[in-house]
Amino acid sequence: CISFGYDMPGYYGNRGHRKHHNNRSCDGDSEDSDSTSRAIINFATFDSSALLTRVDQEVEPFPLLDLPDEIIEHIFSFLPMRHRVKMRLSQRLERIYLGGKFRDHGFVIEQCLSGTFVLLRRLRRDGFEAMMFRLGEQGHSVPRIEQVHCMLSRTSYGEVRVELPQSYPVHALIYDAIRDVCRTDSLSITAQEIRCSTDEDANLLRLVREKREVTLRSEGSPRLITLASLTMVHQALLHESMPLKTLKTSVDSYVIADYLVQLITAQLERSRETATRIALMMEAAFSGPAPPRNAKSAKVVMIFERHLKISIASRAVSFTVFDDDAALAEEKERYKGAIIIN
Amino acid sequence: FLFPIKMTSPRMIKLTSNDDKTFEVERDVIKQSVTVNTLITDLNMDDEDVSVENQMAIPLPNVDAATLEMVITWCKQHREDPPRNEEEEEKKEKRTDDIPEWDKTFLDVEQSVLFALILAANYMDIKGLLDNCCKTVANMIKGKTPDEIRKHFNIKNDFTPEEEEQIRKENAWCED
Repeated sequence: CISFGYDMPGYYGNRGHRKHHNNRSCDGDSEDSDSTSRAIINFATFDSSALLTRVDQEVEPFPLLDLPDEIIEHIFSFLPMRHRVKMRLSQRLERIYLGGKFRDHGFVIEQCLSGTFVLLRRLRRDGFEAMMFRLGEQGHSVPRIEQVHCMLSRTSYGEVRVELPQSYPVHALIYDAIRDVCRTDSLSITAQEIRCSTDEDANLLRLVREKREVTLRSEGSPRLITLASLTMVHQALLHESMPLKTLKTSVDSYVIADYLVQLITAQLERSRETATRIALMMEAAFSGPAPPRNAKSAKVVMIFERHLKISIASRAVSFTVFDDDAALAEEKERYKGAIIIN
Repeated sequence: FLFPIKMTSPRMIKLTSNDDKTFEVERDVIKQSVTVNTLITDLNMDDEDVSVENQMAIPLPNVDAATLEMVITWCKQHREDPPRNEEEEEKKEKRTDDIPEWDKTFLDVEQSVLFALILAANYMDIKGLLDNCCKTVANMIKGKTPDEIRKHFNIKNDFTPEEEEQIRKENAWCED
């Protein structure tokens, strides 16, 4: 007989628990590792097919289904998405898959081919895996938005980027999915137009609610940014526990930019901590009409007591909060002639 | 002047498996088990000035002696590991290619032993061991076709043909 088994000294090696690799003897009567020294095969009578069948039968299945649901879900959490979906193999595993909350590095959605096709690249440590999906059409082999919607709802991400330089009405489905089910630390949307399928003031709040950092850049103000929608975010930040730390957005309306200034300075009246929650740094890049004559322009407002700098140029407003005293002192020196509010 | 140096031996804790075998293990080693650690704290065992002979053994009714011995071996190997920050762990991308070499060898055991270790790690709440065991199982899944996975884990198909077709369609985009 022949044996390829090995035993390691120590905790289990000498007690037969350690895995034996193809360690079954050809006549099936011994697992003794000492038998390696007696490795003799009678090729005249050796039936290899019998060996293969026996080895195949003797592979011990892992009793995965005897584990509790939470451990199976924990095992799933270590699988990349493309392997995880393969575990939808029984009613119970399907239930665990559907109820699971998983985490992935991130993904990018970008334009491809035509307006109804979008490329989704799943970011990985070592690059990305790409998949293409079609928006809102039935009967095609590439996944439809419903499936992507389904996929997003079960995973939280480190980073999600949407880059759609051309605008098509069906893109609203992507913004709807991100608004409704996407949980990510950082969301960045750069698009010709950022617009959900329905124009509602609550869209912005729903979009930013589960995210820490949100950047919205479009030609002009995103449709999501209105005075009413900003007020809702403002109220939610004051009264709810939200992870949102940074909101950056392009703005083409001086009215909105001015409102944002008021909103943040009003926050400062309450406390610095609250203020830092609403907008650590906001950039308002004016691409629309020039601000009115009485607009605040070309000045820097330093609020040292609150460690805040507000820079207002002719077409841009930015806010910076300094946590570090040394960095603040440096800024003070740079802006000696600026308007200072203590 | 010469002062006598008081040598303090490490505090020992007794653990009893479900087949009545008792193990003595250093307090510092077993602190990796949240379950045992909590029991020690709740029972004020750290404060007691009793010798290990007179100490009450902590019963572990869900763990057999062979598995407990392996768990203790793992804890000894990982006693110097930095404490885990669960919040940070949650945020990290989950991966399976970071199992330490020692653990890979340690977990290269029969499937039934790995299964018992997973249950013990879960019961004793030893997150590092549980993670590495689960990663080992996840590695068994990677690279296999659904049929191979069924065979490897003995998973019976209890879907209706309609459900199976629906899942096949939904998974079509990510097939290798």
